[in-house]
Amino acid sequence: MSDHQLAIKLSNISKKYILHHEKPTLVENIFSFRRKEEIWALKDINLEIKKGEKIGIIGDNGSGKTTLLKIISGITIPTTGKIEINGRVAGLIDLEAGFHPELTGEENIFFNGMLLGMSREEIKKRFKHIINFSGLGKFIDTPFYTYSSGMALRLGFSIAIHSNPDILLIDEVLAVGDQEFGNKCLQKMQEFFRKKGTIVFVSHHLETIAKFCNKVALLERGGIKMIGESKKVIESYYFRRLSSNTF
Amino acid sequence: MNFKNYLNFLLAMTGKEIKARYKNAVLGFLWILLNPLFQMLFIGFIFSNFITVPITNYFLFLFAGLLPWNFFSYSLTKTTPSIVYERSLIQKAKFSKEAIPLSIVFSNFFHFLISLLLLIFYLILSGDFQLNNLTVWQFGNFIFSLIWLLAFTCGISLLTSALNVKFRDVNFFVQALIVLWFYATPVIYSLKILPKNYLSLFRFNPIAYPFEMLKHGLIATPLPSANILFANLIISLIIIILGIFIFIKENRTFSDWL
Repeated sequence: MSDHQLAIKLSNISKKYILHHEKPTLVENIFSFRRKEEIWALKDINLEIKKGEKIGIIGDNGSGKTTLLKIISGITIPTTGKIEINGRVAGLIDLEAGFHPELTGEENIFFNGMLLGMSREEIKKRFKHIINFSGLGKFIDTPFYTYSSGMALRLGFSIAIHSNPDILLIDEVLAVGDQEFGNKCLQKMQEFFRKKGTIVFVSHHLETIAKFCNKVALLERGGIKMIGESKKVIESYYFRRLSSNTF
Repeated sequence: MNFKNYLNFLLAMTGKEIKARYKNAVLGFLWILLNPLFQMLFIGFIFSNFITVPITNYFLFLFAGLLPWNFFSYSLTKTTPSIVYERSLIQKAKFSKEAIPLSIVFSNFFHFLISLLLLIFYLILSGDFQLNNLTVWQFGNFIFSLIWLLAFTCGISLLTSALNVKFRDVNFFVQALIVLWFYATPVIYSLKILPKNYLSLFRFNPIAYPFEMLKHGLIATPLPSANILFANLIISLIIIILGIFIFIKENRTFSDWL
């Protein structure tokens, strides 16, 4: 397949972390010769995601799902391997983060939107939509510290979804927020689906994954154990967990 | 991200810094001036009554040195732990992380410029400073010292903020260093009144010369020898380049350490 039809291409991606038992310090580095403990969070991942594909990533805790998402979003870089991304990525990761408590909702929209890679003009153009969707109403010009965590989440989601991404990364985000807003988010995401956007969805909710994704990758100890049609992979994962009695 | 967007982002970050700092302070911007004013009165009281310094118009001299010192020390103490403090931003999205320390430096520089303008205003009113007496040489020194201080503060901030991610005790070193650095910089004294055989020590303090240049521009105090200028310039450039280099090398894996 030619590369321009791909949204994401990961070739031989590995990611090494150094395990810290305490805060890393300079003094410790100079005076101690303790061998550093290393963990390979991802090992030799090869993954091609086509434009418009909805792919789910499942696996146990510590299997490397979040690390994979971090690498795709560019928050961190792989230790070895190559990554190619076509299009703008938006992550529905840590939605409540990246707001300044002293600034108002409006000021925070600009700041947060630019952080996600939107230009000032883009934000201005979508400013009304962002506020309307968040449902914050008159709270929009009050300082952010007065917001409840639900309000913060709504604003975060609204900004991310209005950044007009080609690729959407979702990390367990649907589980939070009230029912009404949850439905609104779902609607918005389905809209994104229809527009042929690419989605990478990390979740423990196998049902949600099965509903949303046509393809699923199962991670195990940093490697792709299985990849293919949602139903088959999820079933296999489900029975594996049943038989190993890990929950 | 193209260049215009990048500048806008940097500007928005700087604006956020400035706004957030004074949002709930009753006296708002007045604090920029009150702070060095109190310092000046306090230090000036000691050094003109208990221990006398042979400098005429000492309070004014002190104020002209405290403004750049406050800019430098506030910036460095705040930027060094800034990447670690902003960990939630770094874990959230991919963006130009140098904007975190740089926006802090720029917001402090903005305050510095405002207080400088007020000082110049005062100098003109009091008659200590006549625009028609100002030489091009003095003006050049003044402008050059501002650029130098800004560039150096940016460079060392990039260096310490990047290093502090992997070595958290860098912040403590900087805090300790700042206290000593104050006495090693011509703020409360000028190089002119020091014994000649100690002067060569100031070659190792990269901000010694720009401080003297700034004061030369403002209140026409004499400039030290060019040896110090060249040594200071070279050390400044080395630190700036090192800061940029290390930040570029480290910034992509910041999130692994936070």
